[in-house]
Amino acid sequence: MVEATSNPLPRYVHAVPDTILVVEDEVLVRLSIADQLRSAGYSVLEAANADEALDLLRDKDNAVRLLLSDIRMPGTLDGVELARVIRARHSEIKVVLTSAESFSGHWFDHDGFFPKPYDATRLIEHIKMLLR
Amino acid sequence: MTDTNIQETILIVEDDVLVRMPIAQYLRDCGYKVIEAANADEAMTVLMHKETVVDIVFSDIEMPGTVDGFGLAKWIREHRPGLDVLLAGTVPRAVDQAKELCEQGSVPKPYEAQIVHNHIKRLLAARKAPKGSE
Repeated sequence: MVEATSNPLPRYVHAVPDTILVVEDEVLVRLSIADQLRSAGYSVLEAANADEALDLLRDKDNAVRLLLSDIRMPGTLDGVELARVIRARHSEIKVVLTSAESFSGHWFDHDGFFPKPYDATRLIEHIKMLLR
Repeated sequence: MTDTNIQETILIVEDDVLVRMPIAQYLRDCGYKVIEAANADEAMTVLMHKETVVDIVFSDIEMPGTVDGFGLAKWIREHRPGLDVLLAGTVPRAVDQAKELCEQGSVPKPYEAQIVHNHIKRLLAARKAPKGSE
């Protein structure tokens, strides 16, 4: 709650939910985390692979603030390659990666890594911290 | 069962994310829970998952992969009889075929979200209506 007098501009920040793009090829995992993120108040876009994610990101109206992507996925790009593309093209977007396998990528590829199976509560807490 | 406060679930099956996302968001804004499947295989995985409740399947007809929308509708008839399927397609002949396959009807593409919503409302109302009534 910010006093109106402390900022002359209207603050609509909390009126529009932040948008998270979930990229996951396992449909049951995708729908589960998407549901939990929506319950936490986020707007969620769902992509089944990196190509779909890039299609959604082309539309600037989608205003994605955070990418949550699995690493191992079929298609032209895996999650790490997708993260690098997003780092290069959309540096403002936070990136959180997940995988059932160990990950030895560079820290600058992401803003968090959660091994699968992950605790959705902890993952959402981390996302809240990143989007604060 | 007829409680209008219960959030009904629509499973959308569409391989083009730029078609799937807007209709999914529209239906969520209308108050439905929406599950997105990128192809028939994903749809069948969702429908075989016993904990996931689905009230209506809205599927594209023309989809890549081993099973298209017609194949999915047939699979649902066999494995989930009673579950309503609404098909959408761009090819007029395919849409006519869908009418024969699915008594629930079909929607020509490109569609308006409002038209899809009207179809879904009708199907849900028919499910809730007492047997014997229209």
